[in-house]
Amino acid sequence: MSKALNIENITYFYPRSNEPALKDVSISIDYGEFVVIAGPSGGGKSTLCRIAAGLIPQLYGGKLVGKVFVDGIDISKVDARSLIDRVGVVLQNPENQIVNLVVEEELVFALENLMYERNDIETRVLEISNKLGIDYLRNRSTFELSGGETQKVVLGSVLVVKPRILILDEPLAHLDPPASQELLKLLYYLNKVEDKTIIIVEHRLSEILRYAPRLVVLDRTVVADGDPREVLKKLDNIDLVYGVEIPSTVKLSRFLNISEPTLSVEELVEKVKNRNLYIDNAIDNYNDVYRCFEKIIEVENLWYIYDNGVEALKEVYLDICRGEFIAIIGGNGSGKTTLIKHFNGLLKPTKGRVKVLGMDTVEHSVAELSRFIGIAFQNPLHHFFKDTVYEEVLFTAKIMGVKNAEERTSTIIEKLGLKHLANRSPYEISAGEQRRLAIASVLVYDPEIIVLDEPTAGIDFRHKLELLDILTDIWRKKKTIVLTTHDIEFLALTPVDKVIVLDKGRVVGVGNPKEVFYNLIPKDLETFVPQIVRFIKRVGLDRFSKVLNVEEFSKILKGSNYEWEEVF
Amino acid sequence: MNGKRFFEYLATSLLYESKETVFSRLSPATKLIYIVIVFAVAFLATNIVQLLYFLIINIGIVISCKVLRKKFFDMLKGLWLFIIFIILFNILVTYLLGDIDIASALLYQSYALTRIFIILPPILIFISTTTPLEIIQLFSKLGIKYYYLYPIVIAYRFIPIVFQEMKNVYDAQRSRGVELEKGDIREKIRKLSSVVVPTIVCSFIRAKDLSEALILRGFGYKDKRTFYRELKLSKIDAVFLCIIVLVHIVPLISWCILNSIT
Repeated sequence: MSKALNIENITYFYPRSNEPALKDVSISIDYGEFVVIAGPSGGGKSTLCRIAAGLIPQLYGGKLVGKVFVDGIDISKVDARSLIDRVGVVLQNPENQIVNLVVEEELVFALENLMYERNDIETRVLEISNKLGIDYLRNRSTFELSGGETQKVVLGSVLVVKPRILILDEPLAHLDPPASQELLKLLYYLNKVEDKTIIIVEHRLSEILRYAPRLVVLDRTVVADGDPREVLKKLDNIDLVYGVEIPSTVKLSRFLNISEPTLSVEELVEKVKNRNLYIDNAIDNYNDVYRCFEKIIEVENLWYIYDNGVEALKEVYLDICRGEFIAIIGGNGSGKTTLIKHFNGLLKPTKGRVKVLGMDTVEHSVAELSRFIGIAFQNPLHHFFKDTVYEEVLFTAKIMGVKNAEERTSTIIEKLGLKHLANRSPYEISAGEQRRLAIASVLVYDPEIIVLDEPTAGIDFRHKLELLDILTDIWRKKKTIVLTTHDIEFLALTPVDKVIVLDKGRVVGVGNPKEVFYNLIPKDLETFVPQIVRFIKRVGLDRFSKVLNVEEFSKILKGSNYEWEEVF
Repeated sequence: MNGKRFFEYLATSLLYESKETVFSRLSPATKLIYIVIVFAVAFLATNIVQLLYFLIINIGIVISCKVLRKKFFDMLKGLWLFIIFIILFNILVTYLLGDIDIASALLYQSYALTRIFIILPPILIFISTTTPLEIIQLFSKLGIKYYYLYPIVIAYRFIPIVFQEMKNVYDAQRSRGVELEKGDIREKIRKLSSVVVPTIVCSFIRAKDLSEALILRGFGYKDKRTFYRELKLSKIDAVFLCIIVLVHIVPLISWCILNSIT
C-alpha cells in the first residue's frame, strides 16, 4: 500500500555546501492526513518541500541521498512536471509564483500546459473558483490582488489539476489574521470533505494546531513527530530551542494545571467550565491617566488618495508622544504602510497635515525628516547594496553625518549580535539577521523616532524574541518606537503604550493595549485579539484583571488570592 | 518636492490595465498589425506635414481612451529624459562626424523625434492591454513553439514589476538619507547603485521563484499546449483595422500619387 509521502533516510547537501541541509530524515505520511511541519528558519523546512515537489535535486543540484516516494512514485526517476497532478505545491511568497497577468489565465495555466480540452478546463476552473470563492476575481489583474486573494489564486491554480496531496510552505507568513483563518478553514475543508492530504510547513502555530492531528518538528533532522499534544508535552521549550511558536492556549493550559495542552480558545474554555475562577484584589498595572509631555508626531485630518483613486487613508487624527511605544495594527490594505510613509514625507497628504517634531512634512524633504525619524520597511532586501554587513551600517552612519562613524558602527553591530557577520554579504545571512541589520542601519544614527514596518514578517519565534529584546532596550532609552504589525501574538508580548487600530484607511480604535483589546476593538476585527484576551473574556475573568500574556497573568496572580477549584 | 522619478512613471504607465477598454477587446493580432502599420508609415512619411498628421492621429487614438490617456502622459514623463539624451547625443554625433550643418542636424533629429512619438501610442496600447499569454497564443498559432517564446514574454511581464520594485527600494533608501538629486555626476552614479543593486537582487529572487512556479504548473512538460480562450477576430477587430488603414495607408498612398503627378 503506497503512502502519500514517504521519505526514507534522506540527507541533502546544497551545491558547494559541506553542511547538510537535511540529515537522515524519515517521514511517512498517509493519504488523508493533515500534518504540520514546524521548525526554526534554516531548519530545512523549505528544502523538504522542494524535495517532495521534485525541484530538488532536479533544479537545484546538490547531493541527495535516500529515497523519496510521492503518491507511490520514486521522484528521482521522473520529471518534476509529471508530478503536478499528484502533488500540488505552493511555495513561499505566493506573489512571486504568479505567472500570468490575469487571474483567469493563472487558473487555466497548468491545465493548458497539460493539454486539457476547453470544456474540461471550463468545468474545473468553475468548480475550483467557486469553492475558493474567487470567481469574482476572474478578470482582475493578478498584481492588484490583496495578500489573501493572491494566496487563494495560487492555491486555485494548483488545485485545478486535482492533486490528492497538497504541500504549502509557510502559507500564513504574510497573511493577516482574518485571511489566515479563512485559508486554514479552507484547507481543513479540503482535508475533511475531499480527503486531500495536507502538509503545511509553518512556525506560527497559534491558529493552525487545532486543525492538525499531527505535528513534526524539523531542525535538519526530525526532532519530534506525533500528536501535537504529545509533542508539546515532550518539548516544553520548543519555542526557545526550535523557534516554534507555542500557542498561548497551550501556555495557559500549563499554567492552569490542565493535564493536556489545549490547542484552541474554545477547547480551553470547555476545559475550565467546571472550575470556579476567581481572583481577589488583582492589581492591574496600567494607569488610565496617560501623560503626554511632548507630541512628537501630530496627524491632523489626514487623507491620502492614490493616483488610481483609491482612498488609502481617511480622516486620520493621531498624536504620538515622545518616548511612547506605539503599535499600528490592521489587516493587509488597511493603510498601515501608507500612514508611516507620511511620517518621513515619502508621501505627502492629499488633504490634512502631518507634523513631525513640529515640522510640517510638506515643507521639509525626506532627507531632512529622516534625520529625526528612521524607518525600516517590510522587505529588508530593499535596503542592502553594500558588500558587507559592516559597510552597510557604516554607509548610513556616514550619510547621516554621524561623528566617529566607524566606532559607532562597530558598537551597533555588536549590540545587535551581528559582529560575527560583519564581513559577510548582507544577502547571505538569514532572514532574522537581515531584519536586525536593517534595524541596525537605522539605530546607528540615533534618530528620535524609530519606525518598523511589519518587523516580524517571515522570521521564526526565536528571532522574534531577540527583536523584542532589542526594541524594549531602545524604548527604555527614551526613544519613540512605532511598529506596524498584524502579528498579534507577538504584540501581546511587547510592552506597547498605545495601540492604533486601522481598518480600511480609518482609525477605528486608539488606546492602551488593554483597553483596545478588551473593549475598543470592533466586533468584525475579532481575529485581531490575542488568544489570552479571548479566553479571559470568555470565562469572565476580565472583571478581575485584564492581561495580555501569560507572564503578566502569573505576576498578577502572585500578589492576589485566587482559586480555580473544580465545582461539581 | 513631490516630484516622481522616471521609474515611478514607467511603473504605472507600462502596467497591464485590467479596466475594460476598447483596446483590451481587440485581438492581439489586430494590435500587432496596428503597430506594424504605424511603424511603416512613420518611416515612409518624408515631410513634416505628413509626420505631424500621423502624430496627431495616433496620439488622438490613444487619448480617446480615458484609461490610457493618463498612462500615455505618464509614459512621456517617464521617457522624456531618455529621449532628450538620445536626441542631443544624435545631434552631436551627426554634427561632429557627418558633414552637415547644425540646422539640418536639428531638422533631421526633430523628424526622428516625431517618429518616436508616432510609434509610442500603438506600443503603449499593445503593452498595457495585451497579456503575455495572449502573445504566446498568437505566435504559437503562427507555428512557433510556445516555450521558446516564454523567456521574452516573461521579461516583458517583468518590466513594470521591476520598476515597481525600484520604487519601493527608492523609498527605503530615501528613508535612510540617500538623496539622488544631490552631488556631482560621479556621486549621483554611486548613489544610484543604492537603488539599482537591491532591485537587481530582488528581481533575481523573483526570477528564481517564477522558474519554480513554472515547473510546478507543468510548463514545457508537453510539446504543445491548449489555450482556453479562443483567438478569434471579431467585428470590432475588423472595424478597428479598417479605420487604421483608412487614416494611415490611404493618406500615405494618396500623398505618394500626388507627389508623382507633380
